[in-house]
Amino acid sequence: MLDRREEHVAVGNRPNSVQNLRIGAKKDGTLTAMQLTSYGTAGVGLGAGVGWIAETMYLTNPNFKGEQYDVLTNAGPGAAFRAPGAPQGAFALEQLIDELAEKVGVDALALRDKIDKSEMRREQRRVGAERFGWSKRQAPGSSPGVVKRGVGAAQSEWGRFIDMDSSCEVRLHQDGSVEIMSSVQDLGTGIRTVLAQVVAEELGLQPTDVTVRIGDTNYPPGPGSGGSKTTGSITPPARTAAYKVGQQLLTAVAPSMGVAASELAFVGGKIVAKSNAGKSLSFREAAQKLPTQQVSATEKRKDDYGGFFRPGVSFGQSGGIQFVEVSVDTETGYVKVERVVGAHDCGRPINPLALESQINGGILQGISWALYENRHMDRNYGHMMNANLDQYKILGSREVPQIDIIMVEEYTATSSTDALGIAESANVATAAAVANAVYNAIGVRIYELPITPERVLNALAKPKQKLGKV
Amino acid sequence: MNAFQWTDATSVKQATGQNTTPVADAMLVNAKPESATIFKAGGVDVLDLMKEHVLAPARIVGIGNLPKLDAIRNAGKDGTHLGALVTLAQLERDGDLHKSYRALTEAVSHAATPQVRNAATLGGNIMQRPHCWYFRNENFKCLKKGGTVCFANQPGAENKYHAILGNQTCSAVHGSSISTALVAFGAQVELTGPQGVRRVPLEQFFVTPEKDVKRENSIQPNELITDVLLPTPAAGTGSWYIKFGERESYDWALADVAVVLEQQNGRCTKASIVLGAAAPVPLRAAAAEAALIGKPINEETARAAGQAATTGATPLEHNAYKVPIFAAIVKRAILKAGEV
Ligand SMILES: Cc1cc2nc3c(=O)[nH]c(=O)nc-3n(C[C@H](O)[C@H](O)[C@H](O)COP(=O)(O)OP(=O)(O)OC[C@H]3O[C@@H](n4cnc5c(N)ncnc54)[C@H](O)[C@@H]3O)c2cc1C
Ligand code: SF4
Repeated sequence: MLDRREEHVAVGNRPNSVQNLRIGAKKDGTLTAMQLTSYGTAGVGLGAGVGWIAETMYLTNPNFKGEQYDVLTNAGPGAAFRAPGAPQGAFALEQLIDELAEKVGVDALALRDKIDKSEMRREQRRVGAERFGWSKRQAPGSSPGVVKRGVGAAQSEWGRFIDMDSSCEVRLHQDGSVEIMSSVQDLGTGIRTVLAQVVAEELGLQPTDVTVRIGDTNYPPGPGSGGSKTTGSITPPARTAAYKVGQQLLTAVAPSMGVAASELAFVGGKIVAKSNAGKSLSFREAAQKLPTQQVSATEKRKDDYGGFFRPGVSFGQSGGIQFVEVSVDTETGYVKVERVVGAHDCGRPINPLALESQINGGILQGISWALYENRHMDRNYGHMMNANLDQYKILGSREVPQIDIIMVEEYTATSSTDALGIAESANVATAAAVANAVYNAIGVRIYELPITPERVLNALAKPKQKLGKV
Repeated sequence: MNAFQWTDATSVKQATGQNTTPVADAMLVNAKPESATIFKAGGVDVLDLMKEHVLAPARIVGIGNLPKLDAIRNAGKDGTHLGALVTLAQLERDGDLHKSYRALTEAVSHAATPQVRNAATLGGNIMQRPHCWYFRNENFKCLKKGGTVCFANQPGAENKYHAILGNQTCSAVHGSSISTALVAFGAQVELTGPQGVRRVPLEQFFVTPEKDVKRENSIQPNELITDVLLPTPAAGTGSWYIKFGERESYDWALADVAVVLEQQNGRCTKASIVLGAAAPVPLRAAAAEAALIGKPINEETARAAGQAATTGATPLEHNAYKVPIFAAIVKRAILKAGEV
C-alpha cells in the first residue's frame, strides 16, 4: 500500500499542458483554419496526448495543422485522470471559440450551431440552453456590484471505446437462481447493477433475482475500466448470454406447456404463451424442468452491427455541453460555481441514476480541477510541496453546486444494449465552461488553471487585452 | 511514524512533572528525539507532524483526561474562563459565548472541519505549529527547525500562503485562526509549570521570528496552558470575524480578521483589529484601528481602515494578492461589527 505522499509523488499525474491555439475564420464565423502547438508533461515516459480535441471537435474546419510535444520531466509520470488529454484541449479550444463568437458578434451557441456538424450536439445545445436559461445571459462584465455573476458553456467529446476482449457467462440453475460471471470490475460506477438489469430484463426477472459475480480472473475475461468502455463492452454479451440461456429454458419447458418454444416469452417472473396469457409457468417451476442441474452460455463482445467505424471504437463520438453559472467576488478573487446544467449522451441509458451519478462526478472533478487542484513543485529543489490531502486541495462538500443533468438518448442500433460510456466525457468540458463563465462575470479572461483568488485578482489588476483580428 | 512510549497524565501536577519539552524544541534538527517527551491533547497537530516525519518523540504524555480543564465558566465581571481542554466543538456550541464574543464563535465555527473540531482542543490550537510547506517537509531543515536557511524566502520559492507583514526572517504564518479572535478580545493565557502559575496576555505570549525564529510562543519546558481568560466586553461592544480561504470546506485561512469595536454616540471609541495569516503571529493592525477612532462606522471609514490594515506590507514573490484580500475582509468585518 502506498501512503498519500507516495501516491502523489510516484503514481503519476494528469499532464500539465501549455496550448498555443490559433483560429482563422470568416466574418460570419465560418472556420477557415486552426493551428495548434501543444505541450504536455509526460514525466519520464511518453504520451501526454493533450492535443487532439482541437482537431476533432469542429469538423467543418477545413485546415488543421497540429503539433503535439511531450515534455519529459523528472517529476513523476504522466497518468490518466479522467479523459486523458481532453480537458486540457477543451480548456484552450472552448475559450477560443467563445472569443471568436464575441469577435464576430454572434452568440457563443449560435456560432457552434454553425461550425459544429454534430446533430446530437446541436440538440444538446438547444435543450441545455433552455433548461439553463441561456437567453438571459448578459454582456461580459456587465453584472453589477462587487460579487458578479456570469454564465458560460463549453462542449465535450470523447471516443466510444469498445473492448472486444469482453466476455461473460450466464448460468441458470434448477432451483431458478441466475448468475452472471465476468472478470470485469466495479470501480464504483455500478457495473454490477447494470449487468443484473440486463440479464433480468432478458429473462423477465427483477435485478435482485440475478447474482453478479465479478472482479475475479477465474471468470471469463472482462474489459478494463479505462476509456469509459466498460458498459458498452460487457452489456451486449451479457444480454446475448442471457438470451441463449433463456432459449435453453424455453426449449426444456415447451413440451410440457404444449406450445412451441418460439411461442413462449419471459414476462414478469413467468414464462407465458404469447397467444394465451392464461397459460403460464413461474420461472422457478420452469427451471425445475431443466434436464441438467444447470445450463449456461458464454458469450463475447461482437463487432458492432454494421461494422466498426475504426478498430476498437464504436461509431461516432459521445459528448455533451455543460452550462455553468459562477459568482466572482471582485474584491477577493473568490470564484464559486453556483449552478451547472449538463446535457450529455451515451447511447441508450441503462441505469439513469447511476449515469447521473457519473456525470455529477465528472462535473465535480472538473470544478475541482478548474478552481482548486494544483501540484506545487518547489522549483529550486524539485520536491512536491503539497503531497497530502490537506494541502492538495480538492473540492469539498461546501463547493458542490446545484447540478441538473439532461440525458439526450441516442439509439444507434450498434449493439444489443446500445449502451456507451459516459464517465470521461462528463469531465471534459467543465473547466472550460467555468473559465467562460468567469469571463462573462468579470470581462477578463483567465488562461491558467486553477482559477484561484490570486489569479483572478492579478487578472483584474491587469489592463484589458484586445481580441485578435478576424 | 516512529515507535514511542505513552503515558496518560491524571493531574496537572503529575503532567508538569514529566520532564517534557515544548514540541518546538523536539523538532529542532539537533534535538535528540530519543529523549524528547511531549504533551498531546487532541492529537490533531501532533499526529500530522509525526506522519510527516518531522516530529519523532520518544514519549508522549496524554493530557486529554486531566480533570476540570474542559469547562467554559462565566466568572461574572472578571470575564469568561475557557479551559485548555475545551474542544473547538464545545466553543462553537456555547450560547453565551455566541452572544458576547461573536467574533470568537465565528472564528471557531469556520475553523477546520466538524470532525477536527470535535477532537481539537483550545490549548492545542494555540500551540499548533505553522503550516509552511518547507517546515512541514522532512527534506528541508529550515531556520525554524534550527537550520541555516529559510527556503520560503528564496527566489522561485513556494510562498503564496506566507506572511506579507513581519516576514523578513521567517514568513510562516500562524495556523491558529482562533487566536486571531482571542487576541482581538484581549485574552490572557494561564500557564502552569512546576514552579506555579503565570498569566500572560495572549498577544505577548506569541513571539516574532526576530525574537526567536525556532518558536512561535514563550512556553517553557514542563509548562502547560491551563486556562484562557476572556475579559468581559464593555456594553455596546460589537465584534465580527471573517476567514477567507480558497475553499469553504476543510481549508486554512489565506487571510482572516477579527474586529472588536466599542461605539458611543455613533462614533467608534475603541477598536481592536487583528489580522491572521498576515504575519508569523496574530497581528494587531494599529493603523486600521487608529483610522476608526472618533469616526462613525460606515462604508467610507471601513474602507479606509481596510486600506490602512496592511500598511507597510512587504509581500514576497507570490503573495501580493493577499493585500487587497485583507483590505476587503477588514472592511467587511468592520461593517458587520459596527452593526451592533
Ligand atoms: C484539516 C485541518 C484544518 C484545520 N483548520 C484550522 C483552522 O482553520 N483554524 C485553526 O485555528 N486551526 C485549524 N486546524 C488546526 C487544529 O485546530 C489544531 O491542530 C488543533 O486545534 C490542535 O489541537 P489538539 O488538541 O489536537 O492539539 P495536539 O495536536 O494534541 O497538540 C498540539 C500542540 O499543542 C501542545 N499542547 C496541547 N495542549 C497543550 C496545553 N494545554 N498546554 C501546552 N501545550 C499543549 C502539544 O504539545 C502540541 O505541541 C486545522 C487542522 C486540520 C487537520
Ligand atoms: S518561512 Fe519559516 S518555516 Fe518556512 S522555510 Fe522559512 S524559516 Fe522555515
